[in-house]
Amino acid sequence: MASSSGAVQAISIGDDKFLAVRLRARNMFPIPPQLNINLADSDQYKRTGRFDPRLDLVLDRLKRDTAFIPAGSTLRITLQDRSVIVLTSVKDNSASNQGWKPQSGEENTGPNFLLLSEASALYPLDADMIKALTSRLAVSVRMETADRYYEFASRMNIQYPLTIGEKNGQQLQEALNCVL
Amino acid sequence: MGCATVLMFAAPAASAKCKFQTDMPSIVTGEHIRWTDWTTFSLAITTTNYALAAGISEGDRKYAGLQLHTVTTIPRQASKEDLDNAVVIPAGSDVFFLMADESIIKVTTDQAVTGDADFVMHSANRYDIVTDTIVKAPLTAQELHGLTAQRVKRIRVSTTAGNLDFEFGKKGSKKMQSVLECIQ
Repeated sequence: MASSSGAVQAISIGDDKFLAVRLRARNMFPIPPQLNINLADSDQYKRTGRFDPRLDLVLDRLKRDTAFIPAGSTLRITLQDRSVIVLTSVKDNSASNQGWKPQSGEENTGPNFLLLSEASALYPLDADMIKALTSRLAVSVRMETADRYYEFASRMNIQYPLTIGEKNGQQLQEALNCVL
Repeated sequence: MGCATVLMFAAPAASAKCKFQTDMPSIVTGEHIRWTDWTTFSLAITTTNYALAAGISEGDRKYAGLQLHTVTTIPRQASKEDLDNAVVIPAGSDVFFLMADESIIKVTTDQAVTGDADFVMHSANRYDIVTDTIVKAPLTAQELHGLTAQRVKRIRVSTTAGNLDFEFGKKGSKKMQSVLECIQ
């Protein structure tokens, strides 16, 4: 699973209110099998594969597409009372992506491409959403991008899987209260 | 007959050990919502799939809550479509509870559910799609009574991709009885 974290900010522009969410993610991608680049022969790979221009093309595509948040993407927030609020982004948001090729010698890429992404999206809030979000703590947040979903919580906690914790829920509420 | 009815509904008060993750009115409907803590099952079969159970009440309605954790391996990079279709349980799907006396309690879901899926990359040709899905099986008073009166041996949930089976040992299924008793 992607390693990810999020931050929220409440924004008021005139009478319009928004929830802004910033995503930070670390994603690994394998070398596409159709490129037929053999990593097993690491010397050969370092001599040739690492500098194969096709890898640059793959990296360029990954940097363009990873963590892209198109207009209409959803942010699903489950509240403590189990009601669900679905917010929708209103415009396309490209991510700022930093990427490394496999075995580039930088970062810990291993045999994969490594992408560190930072993306933000604005989600408009109506009066009912604000009332719900400020009355009940959020317990889980699931953010949609063009190619996958990001949960801001771990699946490893069996008793409370995908739960963001009370402190994080309170921080979300505090941010919203500031713009009301 | 009348006595039997009285016995059926004279359920014990929620035990002092009942713990609730949610115990408050819904901001949307105003109904009182109660979800017990999830309880883990002891699996009788070694598998990457497991299930958790909770007793759920929403106003007067009662549910057996099941949280299904499943892992599916595919030989290529997982697409968003793979994630969206990993576990889909349409409204009207069946949930079967096989009881200790071999009787079956069949419950029909009233809400469509799509599992929250993500993937883990192992290599260019091996991806695990990991999905967590919460299903609420609506229970009549008789079904709730039936599920707490004896152990559940096996649970089967129908999905668009086939049946998901969960089989439990004695200890695990007793835990399921205990969370359902909390909402009687």
